[in-house]
Amino acid sequence: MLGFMMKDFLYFRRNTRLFALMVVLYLVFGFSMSNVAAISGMLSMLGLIVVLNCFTADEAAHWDEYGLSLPVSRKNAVRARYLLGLLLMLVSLVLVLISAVILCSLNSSLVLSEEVSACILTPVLLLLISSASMPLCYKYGVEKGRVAMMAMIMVIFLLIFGGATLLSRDGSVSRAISQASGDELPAPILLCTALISLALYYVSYRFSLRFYINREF
Amino acid sequence: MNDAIQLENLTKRYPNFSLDNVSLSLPRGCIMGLIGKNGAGKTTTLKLLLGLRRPDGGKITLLGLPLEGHEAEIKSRLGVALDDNRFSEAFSPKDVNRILRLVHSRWDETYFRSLADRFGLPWTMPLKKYSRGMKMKLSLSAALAHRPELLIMDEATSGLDPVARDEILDMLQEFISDGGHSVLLSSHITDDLERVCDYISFLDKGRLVFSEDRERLRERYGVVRAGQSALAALPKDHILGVKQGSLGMEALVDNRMELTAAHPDWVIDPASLAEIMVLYGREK
Repeated sequence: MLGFMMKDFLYFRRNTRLFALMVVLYLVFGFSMSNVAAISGMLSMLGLIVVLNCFTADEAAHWDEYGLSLPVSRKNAVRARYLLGLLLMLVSLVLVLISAVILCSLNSSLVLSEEVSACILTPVLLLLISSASMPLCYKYGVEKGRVAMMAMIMVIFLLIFGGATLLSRDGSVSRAISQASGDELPAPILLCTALISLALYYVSYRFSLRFYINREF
Repeated sequence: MNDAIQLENLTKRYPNFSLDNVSLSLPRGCIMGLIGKNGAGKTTTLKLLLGLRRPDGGKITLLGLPLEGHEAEIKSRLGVALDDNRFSEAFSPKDVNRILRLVHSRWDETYFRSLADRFGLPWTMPLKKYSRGMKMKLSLSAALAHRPELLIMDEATSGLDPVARDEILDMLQEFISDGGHSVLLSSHITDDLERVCDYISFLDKGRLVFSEDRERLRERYGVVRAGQSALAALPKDHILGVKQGSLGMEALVDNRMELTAAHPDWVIDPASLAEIMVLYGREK
């Protein structure tokens, strides 16, 4: 499993400079706007793109046929990819939390607990998006996985803001949601949301495992 | 001692093709060539051996262990080189080493490096700058560096120049020289197989036509080159294929020694692997 994780790390190593530049740009943008949520969103999206790029790189090299001839079970092959996704999400979360602390110390109008609350929600949402796209990558290939990713983003957006608009014609509900996303959410709600997304990530892993174990090459 | 490979009634069914009850054995310390026309089932057979596909029937035993339930252990003792490089073109041999030393418990980095040096593979050069021959040599080096007992190669010499193929074939002969290692080699380049193989298995339309040692093949299979009248004299049961030409006919037969004794005036040459593949099944 470690060998497969090393392979995935080496995939994005060649783009290290590009990714580092993107991280710096996101941080500069976020700092200039005093918007930690924006940093969180962009870094989490970057983590998701890196994972999907690993699927693309594997497909381009026709890696699976060779990879499965190695003494690595299909279970560990899938596990390696899911652990990578989780690791990238955690790394981005740490970066964002550090940014939040720095930003809040520089800008007294920002409240650390509110910024942390917003930081945690974004990776949670993106964990949900990758939970939808990764099983499709395993079953149908990376192109359909990307379509699933975009569709999931659209669905989340439509459900939250479109549904809110429908519920309230004067826009008060959607305004309330926008405001609430900047407010501090109670810790139990944050914790529940995180746990639910992790549970769904595990369910996604089980689906991916089933698809990959049954797949023939 | 167990055979390196034992297939018993191996079957795989698709809508338009079936691999049908293929049974063969590769003794340890030998090289077996797997031949057949395009679509004969060679790659299907190899993929079943590697667990990439599931058989619909039959049994696969590798290195004395059934594949089912022992896949990880078998694959730790197996080396595989496929028809093309399967590492990212951005990787170098150094990167391949980093990956595979975490995969194989018996990975020998020093040996891998020495193979790369022997084949002239720049250690830190990305594979996109490698020629096809260099990529195949890297694949072979990666397949050998964990000291496998069985090497499986699928069209690994295809598209290579004679010098590169010669280097690879030399390496295969070294590999089996201690008597404990075995190779299954699928290839269309029959000259390569005739040079190194101890056994040949011939697949045609999903069925195993024969699986025999090279000497026995030379004794059994022959090409009769004669006029049309000679065809009538050949026992029909032993004609495997006939090619009609303007100057006569070529008939593939599987009783060369008997025919040579019965017709000393006929030209009956031992059939080469290429002739077997070309003539087998052609219209009688």
